[in-house]
Amino acid sequence: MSDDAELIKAAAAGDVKSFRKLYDRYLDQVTCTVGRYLGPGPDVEDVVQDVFVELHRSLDRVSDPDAFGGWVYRVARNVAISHGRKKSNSVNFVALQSFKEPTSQWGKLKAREKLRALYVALECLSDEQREAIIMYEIEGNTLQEIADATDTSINTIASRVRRGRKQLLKLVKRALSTSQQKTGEKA
Amino acid sequence: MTAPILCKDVEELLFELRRDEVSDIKRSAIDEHLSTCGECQELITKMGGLLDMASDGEPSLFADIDEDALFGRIESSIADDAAAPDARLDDVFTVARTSNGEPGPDFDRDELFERITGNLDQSNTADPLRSPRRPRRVWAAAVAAACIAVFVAWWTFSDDSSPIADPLPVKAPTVVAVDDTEAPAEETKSPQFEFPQLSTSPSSDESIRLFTAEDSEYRRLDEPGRSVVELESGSILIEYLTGQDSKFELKARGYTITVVGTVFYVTIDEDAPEITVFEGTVRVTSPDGSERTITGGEISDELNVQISAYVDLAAHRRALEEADQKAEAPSVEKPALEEPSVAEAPVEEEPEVVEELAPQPPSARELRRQALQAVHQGEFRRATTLLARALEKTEPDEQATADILLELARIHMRELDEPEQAADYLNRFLSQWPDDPAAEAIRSQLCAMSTVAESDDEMCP
Repeated sequence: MSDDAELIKAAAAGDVKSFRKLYDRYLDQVTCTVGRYLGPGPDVEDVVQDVFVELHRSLDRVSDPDAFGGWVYRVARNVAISHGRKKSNSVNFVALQSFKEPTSQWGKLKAREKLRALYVALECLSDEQREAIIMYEIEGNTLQEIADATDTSINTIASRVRRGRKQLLKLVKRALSTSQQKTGEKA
Repeated sequence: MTAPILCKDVEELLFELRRDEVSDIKRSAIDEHLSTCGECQELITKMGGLLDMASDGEPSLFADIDEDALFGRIESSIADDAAAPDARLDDVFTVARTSNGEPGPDFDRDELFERITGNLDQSNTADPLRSPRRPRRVWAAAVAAACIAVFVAWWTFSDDSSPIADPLPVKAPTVVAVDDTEAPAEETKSPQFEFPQLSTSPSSDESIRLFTAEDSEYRRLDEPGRSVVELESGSILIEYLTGQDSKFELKARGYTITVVGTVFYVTIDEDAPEITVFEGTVRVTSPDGSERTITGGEISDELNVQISAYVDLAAHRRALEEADQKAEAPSVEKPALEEPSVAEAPVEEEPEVVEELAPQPPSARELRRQALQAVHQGEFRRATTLLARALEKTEPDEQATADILLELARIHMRELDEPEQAADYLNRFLSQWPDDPAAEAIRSQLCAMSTVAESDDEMCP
């Protein structure tokens, strides 16, 4: 019996300490899953909260405690998708001006800025294409896994990924040329 | 021999390249192309870099989460979910404990004692085991809540000779305008500022919660399966828990506003009737019977609907939570929770509760969240105003101050092209945290900016 199984059982019976242990164990995973769907922003924390509330509600329905990580992922994904994202009016193309790994707080802020630009570009895709791109290109799932998770045929998923890639590439290219123009103007 | 690789081919294979899904032969041909094509190199680096960052980024890249505070909120939601009287004291205690049972960093003994005594007092006034307190925080959880805020000028109804309202005229909207230059934008956007003085009305119906201004007049006309509020005059803020078996309708000036889904705010003004839908969907039935569905993010010219901005729901949520906590304190004269009907509630009992339930001014954290949203929406000037206000609320040596200073500098530098202001914030950062790991990069940044700003800086070589 896995460690998770005992904690799930106790947490489902109302033991808050056990739920806190599950929370500590899965907080990073949930934050990353939600963040990958929404991009960095103020709503990530709220959605993470909703995910854990939802997880707590569903603890007694966990049929395979050994695969709790997968269960957590699915709940996080569903909550993040249902949360959706508010559309932004402007794409911060300048954020793509340069790319450098974050090494400090300053770097982290810049990295967030760039990521936001990526997610703004992703918002220009259809919901289906965006989901396919996030699951395939960012989360690294296989086409078959995405097809299973979304109850869609593998061909449909492949087509969504293909179209999504094309669209995303177009947006990023445009962003790059815009930022180059701005750089040129400043120089 | 393979055909020469062109930029177009690289673009087509860009994603496969990142996933290492191209053959060795193609790969070497692409490498050859990349060695001479800077544009393709840049595209691959940036696109791949962004996707890798999203894919492998640390949780802190997406959000700065205070783990204990977040768990406290989750626990509150869960406790209210369960709504079991004997679980609540556990809740009170465990909020202040970490996973190993030790007191957490935010453990406030006085507050804890106050909360415990609050619960005990409440228990003593009725059956300690059988009287569940009102699950206030279920509102804070807002898992499926709908909020409607409606303003109707009281004089609108002083003329009883016009029982049916005119159709909504199409004219320039005047309400909930966002003006960055004249007033802090969130004061016009956020409902807590639109409803600074509201009292709550007790209700036996847990799916609906009403906040009213003192001069408001309204009636509850509930029917089986349908909650109806008819606003006659004044202002009212309604929180409605969707997902119930019943429907909810608000009637005002001959219009019927029906909750269709999620969270939204509606503002009706007498001078320029308009409906502002921030988020979610409402269906509006005009006096002539025609229906229109309005969704947040859409603008309906016909109905003179203006989408001003998204409400910071989290801020509203937290304000309510804070108000709830205050209302739970033993000294607060709470409304009689067992009152069966809102319409029968005596109005004179309300004022004492007004102060307690009035939403609080936004905290530094809230202001930062709103600023982040503003950045996301491309409203950089507003973001700096919000951050500057947040800065006033933090201690000089707080980590939050460092983050705010850097964010302000970044926005001024990158988005507003104002290197002088950016330099000012960076200098403030350096004077407080000269040994921060970011300090070196900031000094170089300052030197680069001093060139842009055409000013001398003795720190620069």
